[in-house]
Order: sequence, then structure tokens, then C-alpha cells
Amino acid sequence: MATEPHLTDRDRAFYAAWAELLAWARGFAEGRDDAVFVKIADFPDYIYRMERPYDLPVIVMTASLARPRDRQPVLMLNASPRHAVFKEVVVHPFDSHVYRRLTLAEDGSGLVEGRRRFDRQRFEALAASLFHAVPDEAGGTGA
Amino acid sequence: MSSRQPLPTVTPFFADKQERLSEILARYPEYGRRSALMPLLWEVQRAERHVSEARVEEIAEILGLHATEVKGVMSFYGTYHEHPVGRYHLQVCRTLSCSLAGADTLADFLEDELDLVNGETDPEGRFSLQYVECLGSCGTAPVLQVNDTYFERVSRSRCRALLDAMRRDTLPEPTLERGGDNEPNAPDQEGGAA
Repeated sequence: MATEPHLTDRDRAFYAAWAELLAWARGFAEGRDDAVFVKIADFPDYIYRMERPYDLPVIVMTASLARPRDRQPVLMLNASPRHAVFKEVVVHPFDSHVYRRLTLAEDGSGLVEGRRRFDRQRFEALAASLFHAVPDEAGGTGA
Repeated sequence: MSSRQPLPTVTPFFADKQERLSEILARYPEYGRRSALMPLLWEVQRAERHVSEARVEEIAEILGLHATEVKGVMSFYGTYHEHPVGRYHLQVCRTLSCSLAGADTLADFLEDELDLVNGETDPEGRFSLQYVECLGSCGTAPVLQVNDTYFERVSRSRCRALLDAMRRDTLPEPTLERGGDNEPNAPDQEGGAA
């Protein structure tokens, strides 16, 4: 990987945490028939580079875990150059206006939600609860 | 892009509540039928602790609105929920007065006690936590609203007692206090913040 001399250690830690979050989402989708990982948009970095010194080692800006049959998002993961400034990622249940805000831990070791560590177990519990609540073909919610 | 799948058929919420529905609609003139939107959302939410997509579409149809208009109102207010909240929905005011009076400490205490973060519901569906804007009770800060009930000047000890009670599925009488009173020894000041 090319070096990015303008990135600080916290920048690198943030991008690593974001990439790890995406890996959790991919892993979640691979383990289930009712979920697919969908990359929704890339960083429009050709625009941002014109004015801002961002050079991101991961290009995905928004990804989602979606229903396979119509690719309707269920859980969205968002990061942007603006989020990168604040070392923040948004985890957004698609049908809710309430989103979860994750930030890089003080020690750069991963993501936290408030003061609580947001680890793979938390992510998978959240995703599973949302997919469990998605109405199935028979009309139930599975709940 | 693929089109959205139709929602599965569910029994309409108001199917067996026509009398209640009529009562709510009758509060407003026919030309203001859409004014019944918020009461209808409340009606559903009180019963189901959230308003699902199916209910949104049902209410939209009743009022002659688009579902997006209903969602637009829901998403404007923090009080409507698309996902079920807990039987005890804890709302911590974190606006200026409450914040100065210790709401942040209260929020930290609740997060630690319940292992919840803002916007989360526990797996048992007992507790959910939400940080909210001003509850209009600045004189008795910090304020914790549990479902529709205010608990005022919530100290750590009061909060712990409150949680213990809710874990036993009892919601105690609210600690309502007078704020800005110049008579600290007045009878209604008894039981102040611990």
C-alpha cells in the first residue's frame, strides 16, 4: 500500500477501524442467506482531493447489509471525509431516523459507542436484531 | 434500481378500534383531517411501543396522506419510534439546565447500570435509553422521563432506586419537585436530591 505521509496515526487507526467494520458486515452477510453486503457509494475523492488533503485507503463511503430479494437496505454504514475529521462512523438502521454514532477510541484501538466498546459481537447482535425484525415473505416479523 | 417490495399483509391496527378512531377524527374538522396524524401515531405507539411501516401506511390511508408525509412527521419528533422501545423507555434530558445539573453523570450512570447506549433497547425489551432535548422542567433538573412520567432532580441514589423498582416491574410515584422556590424548608421540598 502506498504511504500517505499526511495521515496521522489516528487517521490510520480510524481507517483501519472503518475497514474492520466493513469486514464485519461482509462476514455477517456471508454467514446468512437473508443478507447481502452492498457497496452503495464510493468516496467522491476526485472532488474532495481538489480542495482537501484526504487520501483514503478505503474507498467505500456507504455500505449496507440488505435483503437479497430486492436489495432493500436494512443496516447502513456511513463514513465520509467529513466523518473522518471527527473520527466518526454512522451505523444507521435504514427504516429508522435514529442512527448510532461510533467514534474512534481514545487509544485508537477500535470503535466505541459513547464510552462502550463497539466490537464485532455488538455489531452482529445489532444486525441480527434488525434482520430478525424484517418482515418475511409470510408476513411475520420472526419476532 | 429495484422497486420496493410491498409490505406483507398485517391486521390493521384500527380494525377493531373504530370507535376510538372515530373519536380522534371527530376532534378535527373534515378539512383538517390530517391534524389527527399525531394522535393516531400516539395511539399505535402506546399499544405497540413503536410505529411500524405497516402502521405508517395504515395511518396514511386513513388520513389521505402519503406514507412519506407520515414518516416525515415521525422523523421530525424524537418521540416516535420505528423500532420497539423498552417497556420502560428512559429519556434523559441533556439540554443546558439539566446538563449543568448533572444530566451527563446521570446518563453515564444509566449507561453503566443498563449496559445500554443512546437509542438502544435491551434484549429483554425491558429498558431503552434515549437522550432527548429540553423537557421543559429546567427548574427541577436533571429530569428523567420514564415513558410519559417525569422524575425530577434525579440524583444517583434516586436513579438507582428507580431502576430497582422498574426491575421489579413497579413504577414508583414520580418525584415531582418545585423549582425556584425560596422556601427550602417548605413541606413540598421534602425528599430533595440525595
